[in-house]
Amino acid sequence: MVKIKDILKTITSLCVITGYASVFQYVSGIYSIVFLLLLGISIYSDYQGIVRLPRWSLNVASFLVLILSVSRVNTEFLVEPILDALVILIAIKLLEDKKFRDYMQIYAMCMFLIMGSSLISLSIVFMLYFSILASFSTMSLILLAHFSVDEEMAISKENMLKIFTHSLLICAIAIPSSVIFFIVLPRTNNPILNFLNRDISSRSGFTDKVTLGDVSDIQEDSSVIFRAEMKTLPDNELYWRGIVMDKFDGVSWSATRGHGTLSPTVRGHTVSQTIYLEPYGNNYLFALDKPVWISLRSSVHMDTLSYSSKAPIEERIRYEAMSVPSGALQEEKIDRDRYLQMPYNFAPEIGELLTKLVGAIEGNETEVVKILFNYLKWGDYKYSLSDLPVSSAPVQDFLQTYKHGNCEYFASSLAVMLRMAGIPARMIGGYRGGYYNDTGKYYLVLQKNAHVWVEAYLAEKGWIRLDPTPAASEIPSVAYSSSFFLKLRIIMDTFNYYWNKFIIGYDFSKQLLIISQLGSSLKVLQHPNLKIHWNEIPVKKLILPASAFMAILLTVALAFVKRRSREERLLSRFLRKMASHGYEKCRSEGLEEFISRIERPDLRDKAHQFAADFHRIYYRDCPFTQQDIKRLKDHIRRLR
Amino acid sequence: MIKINKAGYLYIVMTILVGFAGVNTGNNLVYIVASALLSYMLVSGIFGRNNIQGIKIDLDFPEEIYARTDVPVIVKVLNTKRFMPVFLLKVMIDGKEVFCPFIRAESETTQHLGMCFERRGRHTIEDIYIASVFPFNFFTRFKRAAGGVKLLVLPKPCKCPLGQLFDRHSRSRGDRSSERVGHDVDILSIRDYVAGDPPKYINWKSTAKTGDLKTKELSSVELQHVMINFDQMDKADTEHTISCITYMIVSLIRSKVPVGLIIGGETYKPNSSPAHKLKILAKLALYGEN
Repeated sequence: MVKIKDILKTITSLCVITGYASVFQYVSGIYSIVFLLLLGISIYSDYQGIVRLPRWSLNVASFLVLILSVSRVNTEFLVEPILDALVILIAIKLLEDKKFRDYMQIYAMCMFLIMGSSLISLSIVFMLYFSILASFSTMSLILLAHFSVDEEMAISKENMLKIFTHSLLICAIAIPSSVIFFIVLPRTNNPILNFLNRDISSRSGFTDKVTLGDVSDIQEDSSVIFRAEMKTLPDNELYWRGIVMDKFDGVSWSATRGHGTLSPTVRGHTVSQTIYLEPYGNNYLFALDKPVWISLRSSVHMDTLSYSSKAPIEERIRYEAMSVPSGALQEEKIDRDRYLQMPYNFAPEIGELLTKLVGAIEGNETEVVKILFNYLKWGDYKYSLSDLPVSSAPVQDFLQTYKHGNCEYFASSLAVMLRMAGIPARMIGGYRGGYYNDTGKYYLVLQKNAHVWVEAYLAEKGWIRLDPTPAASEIPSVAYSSSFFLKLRIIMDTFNYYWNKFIIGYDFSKQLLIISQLGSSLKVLQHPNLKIHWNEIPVKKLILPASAFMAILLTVALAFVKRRSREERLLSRFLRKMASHGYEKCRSEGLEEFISRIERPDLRDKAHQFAADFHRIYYRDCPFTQQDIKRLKDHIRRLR
Repeated sequence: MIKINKAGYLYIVMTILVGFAGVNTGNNLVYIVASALLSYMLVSGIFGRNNIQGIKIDLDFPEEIYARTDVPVIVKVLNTKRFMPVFLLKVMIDGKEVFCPFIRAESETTQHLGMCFERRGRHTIEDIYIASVFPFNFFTRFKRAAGGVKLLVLPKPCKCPLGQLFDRHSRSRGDRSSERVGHDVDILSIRDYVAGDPPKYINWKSTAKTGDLKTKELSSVELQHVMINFDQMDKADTEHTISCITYMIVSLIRSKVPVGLIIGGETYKPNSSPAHKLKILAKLALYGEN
């Protein structure tokens, strides 16, 4: 026999540990230490029977913890103090001599912990903790129901196993109904407590100003910046445009607002994408180079063909984008001063280098661009991430001394040289490449893919993309693509992707869409001329897996169902029929005895005929033949 | 029937709060929590309802139930469900309850319940309810499982001085010899010796006279019967009188004394069989009832 309260204590401790695990990274160190200490004491005292502290003293302690936490709350720091308080309150509760209501309070507080974690992070890990907590809580609540009847109740191991299987069954049944509730629960476009949500999963990326050396820092981060749902493209077209920087101060590039054409024309095949952008704290919206349209209502279309959101991106957003990956960006009139701007008297040594390289062909812009591009891309310059020329004159150092650097140095040098040669140029900050997920049909783009390149303006072609960074295995995104973990990460990211797409991204508009689609489906079904085109139904994708699933389910069900013999089935059919007439057979009653109780003479006679026939065949000790069964079924049918 | 328990109220309030938080934060993870809470409420309802389905209650009362005397009742609870066991079932009978923590599928459990009926006569246990807090103690579900159990409660036996209750003629006057052959008192006849007759019953005088072994046949003793004329008794305290008579009937029949009863103009001849005892006690139990 097993004591309910012992099992209950164990599972409650597991619930508490799960609740704490879901928030431990947000709980202050001192609170975590106190929590773990109190948890240890409570577990020890539960099993060693140490005298417990009086309840009033624990209540006073809880009150003081609450006061302390409330005093720490402010508008910027709202959730964490509450989580700190909750973990301590749970630990104090565990110290008490727990009654039914104490256990209920512990489970409720664990659930609030999980909810608190959801206000800070929208990660899929939430689901893991939530599932574990739900499973433990289900079992605890069933045990608690036993505990509420008798605190000292002990049950057999078989009974405990049944409780365990029932709790799993309850969890399994709760899943589909939870999905339905999730879809139908009312939503609003303007939640009033939205300020409580604070996804701090990612906080790195491009800023308004890129100092040489900054991008290498971004490239060290392997977190996701966005996912782009789209078809695959050739690798040379995978440039994700974000920030366009036109002002150079000798050390860093920054974006200014100029007076250009607001609608530059781009010709070529268009590629549509759905971008799921992670929160990164800045305003720029990324899309495949060159984006011509972005669906986000609050986006600002800048004259440099870049888009930004009005407010910093502090939560995961989704938008549609249309891009023209190949082809030049036509712009009739540009602000040449803006794109030729250089610091006063900037690096005369670069001017000398430039004269040496393109002095002879001055005036032929295309040829100049080609020579400078080739000089950097295929010349003596090497790609490197270490020992970068970080100084007050990084471009000069790169070109003349170090001769190695990462994409920023190559792009910066090209842009500077182009400008010094009188060709308008600008720096584009964004991402290069990505890892295609065949399952989810999307590109996974990491901060590692951060990249800068150059756009040069040629009068006859418009803006053309120039990426002078040489191909090298040291490039972080390239190095990562050969990593063993990449494949695993892409597989795991599929879950993240669907999580973000279907769970996190589900909102009022999608709810309306589902309702309207459901409504139109019903209208189609009600249409008198409805014809189902079976050949259009995706048999392989839908019907075959569904049939296979049903077959497995049926096999499992049949394996568990005790198959009754034909005689038993016939007899139970007869008894059901009699029950419908209001005559229930007692377990201890013989068939004849049961029939003799029937008051209606006609019914009694018919029942007698069945019983006589049944007994005659049954006691013959031979299997029932088809004729026997047919005859007995006829008897049952006549029982009216 | 369903009753919301304290934990149930707490759960409902919490679900509403979480739902409110979900709507007002627009946080889909909070929506997941709210959906799960609602879903658990629904599933708890389904499991709770299923838990009290397919249950048959059978009460086994002793043959003689006396008023104001504790009666041990056997409560048989049968779970007719093929797969699902029954958890935490409470059977409520006449304000008393028995508890079955677990009943396997298609099996029966037996519990004992002490009952006490205040008055003699016909009793009907109108409703037998089953209730369960399974699975989560949020709600208690009730269901009428059986009812209409009819019982006859016999009068409470009460020891009284017998002399005040019946006249001199009705009193037992000890034993008397009967016409039947026995081994007790008078010689009924003398017959030929049969092998196996005990030597002490050989009548030596007749044996000597006839020259053949003769054996004495003795009569048996039977108790004088008691006839109770209830109709002629003082009815100042009818219940007390009935209780006293009940006690007397029970104790006399236990001592194998045949007892008869005259009640409501009907006469029940003296007899000492258990069936007769029940018959006359039933008459006493129903005295005064239409």
